[in-house]
Amino acid sequence: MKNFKSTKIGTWVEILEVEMTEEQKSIMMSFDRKAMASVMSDIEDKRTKKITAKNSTDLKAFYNKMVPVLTNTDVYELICVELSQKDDGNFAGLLNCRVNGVQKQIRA
Amino acid sequence: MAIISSTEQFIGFPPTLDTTERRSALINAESQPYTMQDFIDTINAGGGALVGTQYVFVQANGTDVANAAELQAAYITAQTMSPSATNRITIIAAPGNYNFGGFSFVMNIDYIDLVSLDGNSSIIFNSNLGGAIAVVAFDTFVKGVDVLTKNFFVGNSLLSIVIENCKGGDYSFGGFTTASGTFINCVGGDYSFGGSGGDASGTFIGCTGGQASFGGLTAFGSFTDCLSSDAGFASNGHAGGTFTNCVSRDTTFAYSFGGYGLATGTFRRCIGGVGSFAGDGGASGVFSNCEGSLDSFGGASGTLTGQLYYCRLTSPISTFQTVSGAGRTVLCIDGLNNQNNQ
Repeated sequence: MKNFKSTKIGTWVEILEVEMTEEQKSIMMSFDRKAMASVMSDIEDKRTKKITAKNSTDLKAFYNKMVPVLTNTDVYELICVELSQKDDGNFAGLLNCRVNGVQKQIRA
Repeated sequence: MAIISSTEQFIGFPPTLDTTERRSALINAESQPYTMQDFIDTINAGGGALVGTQYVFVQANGTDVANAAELQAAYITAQTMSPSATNRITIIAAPGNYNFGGFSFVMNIDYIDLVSLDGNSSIIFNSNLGGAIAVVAFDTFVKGVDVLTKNFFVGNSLLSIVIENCKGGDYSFGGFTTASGTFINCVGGDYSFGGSGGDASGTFIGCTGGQASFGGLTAFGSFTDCLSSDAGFASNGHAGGTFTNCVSRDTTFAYSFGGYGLATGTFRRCIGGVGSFAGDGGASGVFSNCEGSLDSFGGASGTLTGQLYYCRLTSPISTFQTVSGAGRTVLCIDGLNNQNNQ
C-alpha cells in the first residue's frame, strides 16, 4: 500500500514509512523544543517523496471525486487530503476540508 | 473426558416410557453412555463453538492462555467465512483475560471485527511479556479491548478503521504514525493518537491521551471532547483541524494547540495552558470561548492574525497580543479582567 498526502491543491507527496531511531524518540519525549524541531524537520524530509506525473493525475482525479459539491458562493479550503493506494491499485481517501468555515471530513 | 463425535446420533424418549429391558442386546452392545459433563467438555474443546453466519463467539472460560488461543482460533475461523464489505464477520469475545505471551494478536484482514460481549473494555490482554494487539487491517472495527500499559498498536494511515472503548499505554492508537481512523472513547498513554512525531488526521471523540498526544507534527482531524495531559494537540507542529471542548492540562509542559507552531484551525470551548494556541507561533485560526494562560494566542513571540471571540486569559499577568492583518479580538477578557476588543 502507498500513501499520499496533499495540503495544497495540486501538490502531492508520497508518505514513506520512516522508523524513528531510539535517539529521535528520546528527543521527541524530552521537550527540548529546539532539538524536537530539528527531529521533526528530519522526519518530514525523510518521509516525503516527490511523485510521478502519472500518479499525480490519478491522485487528482480521485481527489476531485471526493470534493463536496459547491455552489458559486461557497468558500472551499483544503486542510489535508490523504489517499492510500491499495495493492490492487484502487484508492481510498480521507479529505479534511472547510466549506464556509465549517470542517468536513469525507472518507471514500 | 469423552469428546462426542459431531456425527454421533441421539434418540430421545418421552419421560413416561419404560425402557427397562426394552432394547435389543445388539443395540445395547453398540451404545455409548454420555454424561452432561461430556457435553460440556465437548463444547469447551471447540467441537461446539458458537458460530453464526456472520459471527464467531469466544466464550473465554478457560485459562488466560487458553482464552487467547480461543480468540486466535476464532480469528482463523472468521477468515474462512469469506469476509467482505458486504459480509463483515464479527468476533464477539466474552469478558475475560487473554494472555498472548510475547506475541501480539494481529488483526490484518479487512472486514473482520472484534467486539466485546458487554460493550465495555472487558477483553483484557494481560500478558506481562508484551503481547498486545496490532491492528493493521485497512477496514476493521475493534471495540472493548484493554491492553493495560502496553502499546495498542495501530498501523499507519488506516483510513477506515474504527476503534471504540479501547485502552492502551504509551504510543497507543498511532503514536509516531498517522492516526487517520475513527477513535471513540479511547484512552491512551503518552504520545498516543499520532502523538510525538506522528499526525492525527482522523476523527477523535471523547478520547484521552497522556502528554504530547493528538498529533506531533500535525493535528488536521476533528477532535471533540478530547483530553491530553501536557502539550497536546500538535504542540510543536500545526493544529489545523477542528477542536471542540478539548483540553490540554499543561501542568508540567505547555504550549499546546500548536503552541510552538501554527494554530490555523477552528477552536471552540478549548482550554490550554501557558503558550497555548500558537503562543510562540502563528495564531491565525478562529477561536471561540477558548481559554489560555500566559503568552497564549501568539502572546509569547508569535503573531495573532486570527479571530478571537469571547476568549479568556487566566494568568493574572497576561494580556492579549496585538492583532495584525485580519486579526480580531471580540469581547475577550485578559488576565487583569479587562475586556479586550481589537
